[in-house]
Amino acid sequence: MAVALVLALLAGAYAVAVLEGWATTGRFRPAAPLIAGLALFGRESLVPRRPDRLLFETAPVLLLIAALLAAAVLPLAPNLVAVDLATGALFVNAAWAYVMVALIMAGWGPDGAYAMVAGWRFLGQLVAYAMMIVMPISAVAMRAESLATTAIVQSQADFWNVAAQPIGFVLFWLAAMAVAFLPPFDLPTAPGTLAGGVAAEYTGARLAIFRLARLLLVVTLAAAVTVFYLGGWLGPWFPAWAWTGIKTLMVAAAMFGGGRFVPRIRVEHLLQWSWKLGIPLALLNIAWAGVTLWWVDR
Amino acid sequence: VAAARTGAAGPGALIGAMRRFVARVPRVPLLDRRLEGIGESAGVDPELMRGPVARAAGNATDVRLGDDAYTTLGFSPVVRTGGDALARLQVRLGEISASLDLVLAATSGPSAELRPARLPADLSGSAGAAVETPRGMAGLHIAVERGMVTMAHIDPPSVGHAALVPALTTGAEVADALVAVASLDLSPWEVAP
Repeated sequence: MAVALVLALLAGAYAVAVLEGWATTGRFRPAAPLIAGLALFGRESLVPRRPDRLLFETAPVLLLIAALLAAAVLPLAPNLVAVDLATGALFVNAAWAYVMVALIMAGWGPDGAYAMVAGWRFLGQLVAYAMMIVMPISAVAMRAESLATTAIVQSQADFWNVAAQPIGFVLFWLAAMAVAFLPPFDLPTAPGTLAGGVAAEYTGARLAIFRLARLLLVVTLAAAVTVFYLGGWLGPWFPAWAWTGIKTLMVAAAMFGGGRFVPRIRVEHLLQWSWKLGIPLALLNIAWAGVTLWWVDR
Repeated sequence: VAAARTGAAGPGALIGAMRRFVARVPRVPLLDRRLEGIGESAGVDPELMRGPVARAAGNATDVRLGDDAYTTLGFSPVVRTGGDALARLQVRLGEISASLDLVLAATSGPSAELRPARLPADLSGSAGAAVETPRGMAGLHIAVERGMVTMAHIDPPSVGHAALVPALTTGAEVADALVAVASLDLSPWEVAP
């Protein structure tokens, strides 16, 4: 099963790479990620002049591990999950915390100005999105009366969480885009202003690992939206794993597509909106979840 | 671009495409928020600002106001008061529309006869002139001796605008500083010595 899950994850990452290329260039080229990946492995992997070697080398690997850890507890089907933890929803959140650590390391490690600015930007971004990840997850766990991801999917058998908790869905969606630094939250890479930001100093195989890790991160975030709000594997006609895959890819496509039409958000605006609007709305969502549960149980 | 994509040709299609572009840009979600308050020109030397940069700060200067040909066509400068990157964008978009209106007004009436000036071959003296370029007023000073130009000096707007860069970017986040510089629309050919 582990091999099947890893293959599914890699296939998902490849499909997401095709979708990202489609969203950014407007051209559908299924072979482009493979060609680009092979080209990266064929190129020289340069090391900056005075790097913090440990941080520089481990940052892309840590980003990859963070994405894989989150994927491990997200179910493709009722019996198709690497680890069905009782605290899966909490574990996902803990795994995503390492994204911030990896990006700070990638920013600090190369000893480059752009990368460092980008790394600290992501720290600010984390301060903005962190509560909007945790609080909506709390609300879906309330409805499932469990932190197990499989139980959260099963709790949506009658009514998906996207309809039961629409505010939480929107907040979690936006926060997920911020975790994966997708446009308009691409502050730590910022093509055009920071020349790639945290990825600016990576080349060759190191850059290939960094990009693969980011794609896997997008897959896990889209899968998390599917599991927490879109009924996971629930759906007619197709096998359970297929529904999870279809929904995950559709979420990823929507994430890529939506960001194309909005300019990159400013750090201070992101923090302002998150703390002054996002967190009160997340609290309202939790209160709403409590009221609806009380109403149903009455 | 829209005219080319649709296969439409001719000035009418181009003008229509440009008007749609001008209407579409301000509707980009969050664009106002992205540009508002960046590169504010309050407190900088107003003498350094010309053209759209000056007009975005509420200063209605335009060389064309002194030109009868333009006033006859109903020209009036586009002015905003924000003095930031958003106001500069709004002025430039407004000037695209205003320029299209001028072109249409100028081409709809009878065409004027162009009469080239005839100057004596042994002319001597010096003179200056100003013209409103898309980036602001450009001055030209020339000296002529017996029909030969002995001195020519162009005073382009980007020189003054480049001098604004430290005041507009100091203390700004790097992305905001880049937006501020981009909003000045500096021409490297004008700034280079």
